[in-house]
Amino acid sequence: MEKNPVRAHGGGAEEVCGRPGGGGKGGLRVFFLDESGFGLSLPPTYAWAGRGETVRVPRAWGKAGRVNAVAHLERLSWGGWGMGYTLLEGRCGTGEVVAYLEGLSREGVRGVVFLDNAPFHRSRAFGEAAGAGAHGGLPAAVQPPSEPCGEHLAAGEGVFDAPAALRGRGGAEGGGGRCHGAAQRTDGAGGVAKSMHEHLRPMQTLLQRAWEVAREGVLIHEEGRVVYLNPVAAELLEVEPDKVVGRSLLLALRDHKLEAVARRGGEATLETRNRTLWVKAAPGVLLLWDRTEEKNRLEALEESSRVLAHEFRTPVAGMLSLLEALQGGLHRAQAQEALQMLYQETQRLRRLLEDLPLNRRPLQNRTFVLEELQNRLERFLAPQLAQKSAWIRWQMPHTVWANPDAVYQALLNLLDNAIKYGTGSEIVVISGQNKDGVWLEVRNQGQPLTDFEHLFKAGQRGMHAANVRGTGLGLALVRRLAAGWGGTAYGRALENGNAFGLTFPICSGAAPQLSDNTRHSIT
Amino acid sequence: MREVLDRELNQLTEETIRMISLVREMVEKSARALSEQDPHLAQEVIAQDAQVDAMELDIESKTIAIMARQALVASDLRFAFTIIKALTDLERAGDYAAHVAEDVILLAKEPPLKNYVTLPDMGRRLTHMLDLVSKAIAERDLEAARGVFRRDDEINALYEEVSRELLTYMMEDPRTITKALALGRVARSYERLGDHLENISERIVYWLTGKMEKKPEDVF
Repeated sequence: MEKNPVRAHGGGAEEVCGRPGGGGKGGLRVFFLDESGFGLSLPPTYAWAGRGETVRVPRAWGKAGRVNAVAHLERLSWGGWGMGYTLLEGRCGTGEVVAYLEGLSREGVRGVVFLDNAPFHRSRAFGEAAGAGAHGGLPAAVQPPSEPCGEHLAAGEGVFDAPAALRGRGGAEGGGGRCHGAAQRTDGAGGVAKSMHEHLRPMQTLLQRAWEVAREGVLIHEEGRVVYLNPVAAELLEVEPDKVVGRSLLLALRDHKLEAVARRGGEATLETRNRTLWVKAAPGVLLLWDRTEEKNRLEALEESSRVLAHEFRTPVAGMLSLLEALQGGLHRAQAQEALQMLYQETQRLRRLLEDLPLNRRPLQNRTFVLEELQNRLERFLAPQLAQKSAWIRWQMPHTVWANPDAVYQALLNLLDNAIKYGTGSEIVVISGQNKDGVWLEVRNQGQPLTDFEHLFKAGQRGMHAANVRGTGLGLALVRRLAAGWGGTAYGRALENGNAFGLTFPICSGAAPQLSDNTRHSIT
Repeated sequence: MREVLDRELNQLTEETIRMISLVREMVEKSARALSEQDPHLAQEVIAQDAQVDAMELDIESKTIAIMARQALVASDLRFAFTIIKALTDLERAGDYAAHVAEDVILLAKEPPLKNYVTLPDMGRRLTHMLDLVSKAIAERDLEAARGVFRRDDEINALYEEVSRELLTYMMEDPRTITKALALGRVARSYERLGDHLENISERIVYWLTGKMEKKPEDVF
């Protein structure tokens, strides 16, 4: 080897064409290896070409008027062909071929190398140097003369021509580099390619079967053209395989960002075809996963977070006001009252936490008089009411069967809205009864609204809310809470204002009843 | 000779698909910028408009060169004309996406009038229409082209709905007029964008069938 050093092994191949010698690492692979020479009688423009590159063969190389090369053909994991080679300064003999094998081995490539059964490969010297494991590198085996391609044209003989020959067979199995310099070897190349194809058919069939049932999309491309895509990829990309195989990558992907990832490699999450796709690209391979559902779940989770934040924001703000009042100094009786309220609110928040998730039906239903909630609500909302110079007129003498905390939370949201968006000073909280059960309304003054239903959808806000901070979640939550005790939430326009109400159906728990003789009906 | 022509026409197809994809990205971003009130994203959309304009000129000159060099006939000739016409519509589509982005920048300066649902939905539907246009060209898919007509009707219906809703807002509270007008312009831009995609689809149908198909209401 010292006499005849390998000029460019592996990475050197990139200078001319094809893949770096040896391909990837790991896994048991099958290689075909051969040597070849180029006479300097070739015209000056004679070149090797691969992947769009054309590089002149340097004529100054070689003893005895030849440029010698060793190359191997490798079946890649996705089914295409890869070619590695090295150019030699000088002769090509046993030492050079063995050095090439060792070079592959040093790169971590594991596999079996097949050589044709030309006399050179069957010589004793070569056998000793390149026999299985003897050289410490890749085990090499000489193919028997019974190979279908004949004694001197076994599969390994076609290293230089096979990729081009395969490409001519429809492109799906094409790959690797090609070398026009081996034109003298084209005789029987088609047969050689066929032979190799037969050798590797079982593995390819298995791989293809696996891809056909894979849950991710698999798209194989070569030289900017689609050579294969599995059913999932066709579905995700909304393409018909027959119409895109053999055509350019962009025509199949129809998305410049996706194409860029496929060509450049790496990973990305992209929106295309109304889907969220996570894609991973390696040379020649594009893998696609549909992450639409995952994204939707994430959005639902975010909405839940917003709901929770909303649920806690109002009570926490109230508690903060009480704490500030305490900090500012209160009379003993007032301080006692504030502490009592803080205690009650903390207890309520604890129960709220225990009731998570929010859409679970509350289990704490009991019969209670709505008036029970009045004092807590009024005191809790006192700072807000004072700020707007507003007050609440209470008329809710009915008894209902529900979770008091849920009713409190619903009323708190309705009153919060009434204070924020109402234009008058008086807010009325009033309950009544009809044949279906008890109703409870919060009425405020202001311009009557026209469409109430859309306000109960999460994220929707009324026109008067345009300049007020809010999330548009409050009424959606009120409706959800009401559903928890079997009732509902509604809105209706009044002559000079709006009413938002809750219903409490008659149920087996306890019949609704009045604590006095006051009766109202929804008109 | 035919091989050379096929290669050139394929390149033309690819470049047109790339342009459609870029416009699609602009529309998708404009809708996202609106729903997320993101002026930076809107700025990206405006910047991309120059790319679309450059692509229009480039593809147009290439198409003219092919038409001058090759004696195009039948479907090849119709294809070349389809591309020439589609380029103008695509360029306008890009302009409308940029107009939406400009309005988003204005709207993002103040609290939203409401939670925007319908307008981003219009944007999403338009991206799907662009997907269909792309498929129709790449796969010569007549059904995909006709699918665009149906979706444009949906866009028009949404535009009417948004316009009515905005009018209600303005009538009920004059303080909302500025925002409502900006939102009205967004809806109008999306509606016009849909019309341009419909024009492209009509040309694709002509290319593939040799016959012009127009919706009954478009025939005068």
